[in-house]
Amino acid sequence: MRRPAAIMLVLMGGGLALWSVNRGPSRACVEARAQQRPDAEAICRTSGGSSGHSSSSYYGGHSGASATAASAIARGGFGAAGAHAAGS
Amino acid sequence: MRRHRLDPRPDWRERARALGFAFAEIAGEPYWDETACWEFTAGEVDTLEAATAELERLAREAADHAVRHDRHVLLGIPDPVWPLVVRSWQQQEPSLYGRMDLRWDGTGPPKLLEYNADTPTSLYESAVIQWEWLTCAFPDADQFNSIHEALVAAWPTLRLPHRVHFACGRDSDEDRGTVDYLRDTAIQARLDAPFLFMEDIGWDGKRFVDLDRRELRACFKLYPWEFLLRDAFGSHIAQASTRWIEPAWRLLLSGKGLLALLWELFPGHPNLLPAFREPGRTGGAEIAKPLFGREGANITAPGLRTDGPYGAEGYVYQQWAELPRADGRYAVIGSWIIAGASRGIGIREDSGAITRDTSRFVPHFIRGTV
Repeated sequence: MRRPAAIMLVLMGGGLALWSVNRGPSRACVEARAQQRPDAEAICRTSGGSSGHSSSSYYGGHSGASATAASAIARGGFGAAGAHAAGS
Repeated sequence: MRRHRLDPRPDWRERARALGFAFAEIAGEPYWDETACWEFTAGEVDTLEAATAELERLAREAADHAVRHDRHVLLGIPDPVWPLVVRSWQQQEPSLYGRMDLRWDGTGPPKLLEYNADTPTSLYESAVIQWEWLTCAFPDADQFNSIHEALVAAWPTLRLPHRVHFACGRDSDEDRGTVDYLRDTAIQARLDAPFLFMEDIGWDGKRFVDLDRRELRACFKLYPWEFLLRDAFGSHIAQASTRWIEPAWRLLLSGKGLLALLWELFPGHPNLLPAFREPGRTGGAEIAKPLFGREGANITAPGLRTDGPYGAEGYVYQQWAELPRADGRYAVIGSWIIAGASRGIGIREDSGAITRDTSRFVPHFIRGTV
């Protein structure tokens, strides 16, 4: 299958068109723009626009959710049976 | 179909890093391996594509048969889980992807070894990394690979809400990489695609929720159904309205029981190997596979035995068909199904005849386009 254009990535590698330069906006910036978030430009400004490129580590999931917010909710009910390499 | 030895690109590690390919090496050993590659003709690719499409058709027929004739015992699916699976199939909940592992040496028909229909990995390297390699190593050649475009195009067809959560367990870079790549394709399809770990999914008494207490209306989970149902929250799944991707009916296909059901329904089919739930019926040497084994664990085959935590759930006995071997490496072809269609391949190699989680990914190209 010959592709007419490069593969586009918006998250992996900080978001890039394959084989273009790696100097691009930060991952948070790219994702915010892709999701059309109203605060996307603010995120891009605060994250510096250019990533400095730290794509070797995936950025974490939610780190928020205060203890009080989570207090009425049970957690940890998934993940016990197969914590390692669930993919196949 | 021919294996070539190659000099790897001197900067392949930097290139992998630039693409966010965090598991190009696993435990200090190469996982991505471009010291070799496989060459196919266009005709060979046509054969693989046709076999994959045919096997997908057979698999869906088998799923329908299983539901209509209540074959959960053959498939090793427990009684309490069966209604969930049946409902998921009857509602025809859409599937995003799967990977069939095929035994093929370029001659005769490709044979189905198993169908990773629930939590297949090696996706990012199949879709993107080997394509990037192609543009460097054989820039004028082609590749059996439209996986990326197919994924982006598939999301809108799944009838999902705008926000789809993505989850996997904490401990595997490979799983996290696969999930993040799928998030990438979902974002390109204009979905909101937040991530959370499986361990962080909450239950508020009525609904599964994320760390911000937002309902998980739809969730892609790189976490097997048999694990999900065994976990403490497994009993909540039936009463929650979360749409899971892959859907519960994929349990019909992801267990090795499918191999026995396929042979029962389509005996002698050229893309199948004889398989049964009982040993000694294939008429020759056999490989014993746990019904819900993973990554080559707990396998018994002629001269081979692997360890692991699986097997208590029972086994399937499939005619032994040793993988083709070249340069001392055994190769298995992973053939990708995206939204029901054959979209590309990835090849894994190992020094042993059983493909394991440490088996290396080797890229490919199509001859005649160089």
